Amino acid sequence: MQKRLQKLIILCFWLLIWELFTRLVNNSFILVGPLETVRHIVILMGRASFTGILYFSSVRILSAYFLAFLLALVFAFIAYRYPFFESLIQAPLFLLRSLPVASFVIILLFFLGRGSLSFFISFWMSFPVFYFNFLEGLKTLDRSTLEMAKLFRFSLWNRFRYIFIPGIYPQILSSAKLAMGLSWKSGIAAELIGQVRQSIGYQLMDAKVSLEMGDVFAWSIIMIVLSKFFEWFVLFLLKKIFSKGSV
Amino acid sequence: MVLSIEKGTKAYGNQVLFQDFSCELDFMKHPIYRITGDSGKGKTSLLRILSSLDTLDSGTFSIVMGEAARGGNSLRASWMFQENRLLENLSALENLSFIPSGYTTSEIAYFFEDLLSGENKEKRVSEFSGGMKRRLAFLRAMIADFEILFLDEPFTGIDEENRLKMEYFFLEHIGKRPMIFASHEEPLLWKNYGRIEL
Repeated sequence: MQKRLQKLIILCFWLLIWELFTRLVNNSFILVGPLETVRHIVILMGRASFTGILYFSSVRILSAYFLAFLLALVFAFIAYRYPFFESLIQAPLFLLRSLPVASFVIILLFFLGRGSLSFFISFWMSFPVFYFNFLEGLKTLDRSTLEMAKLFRFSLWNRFRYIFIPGIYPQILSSAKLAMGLSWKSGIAAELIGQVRQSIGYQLMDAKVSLEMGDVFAWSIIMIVLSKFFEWFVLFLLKKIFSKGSV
Repeated sequence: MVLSIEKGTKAYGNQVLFQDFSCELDFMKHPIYRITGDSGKGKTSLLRILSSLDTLDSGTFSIVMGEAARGGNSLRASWMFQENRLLENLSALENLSFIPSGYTTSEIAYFFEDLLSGENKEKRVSEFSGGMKRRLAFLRAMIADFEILFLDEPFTGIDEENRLKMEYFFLEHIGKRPMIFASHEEPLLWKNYGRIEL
């Protein structure tokens, strides 16, 4: 309880600083205060297109996120079993990881067009995060437990369910958190750069072009809230599904 | 069946556990063998080598079966490891249920009552005491479908009453299968075992 109170006070403190700073600048083209931002959010929510825009962006970003999670799990297992496979896909993955989102978007735009752009960008941004974390977790699995499972001839499913998954549980949680933020940020950036209509990224750019700084702030806050909400939701699910296990 | 090591050497890094060590375990003479020796002499390593979980650095290890030559060179082994190696976040019953076993679920529940009487088999292993975990690891090793059994310090942290139960349980269920154990303590019921001195 005390901690929550502390958090609330800290939040209020920074909101106050924000508001004060806004009054100091006193120019709504440059900086919009928290109260004004809330007003803009309410206005945005009242628009007929609002839920459609949220849906468009969320579906693409989240489905990319989940697909990346599952595929990374499969790939990490194959890489763990076959070191050659690990070496084989290491180079492209490192390249992907260090490529700036902007250049990646432009390259993909040629091949894909706008519709599925944010899906692919989010996927490629979150996949390496999952993959490298899972693989690292698998490599640090307790050897004596693995030996026990082999000795007692555990089925592949039981090994997976009760040894591998619980063994990489910390990595699953940390990467799920990290990749969620990354998916949203990169997905929205892709929408903006690629000018994908009916998307949050496009709304951001539209607001910027028409000098509606209040809308820019409003959309940013909405994005943060969505990202945090789904992060909380996914972690909740993962804890429900995977908390039971070994060692 | 005869297990034998000839001029075996095993070392970890710079620490030599044993050198030019030879032994023969003839299970026609003794169905049970005990490995003795001071701590750090490599009793666990010797057990591991005898069950093909580990290999010698030099020397030979061989398995000779009585009746016929055996394809492959390892036997289906079951182990009670020194460190238990139970799945701590699962219940006692779940730990037993993953093991390929010739026994039915109700038989296993009955064995559990016998060795860990009064304990809740649905409870997570992490909530068990050291002695209870030890007995659970023993039971797991016993119910597995094995051709040879390895017990590494089976009586650590077990009081005399429970030791008797374990040893009796063993005698009841081992049949004609061979067993090798390493222990500081003298067993109470197991007699006429062969002895390998490290």
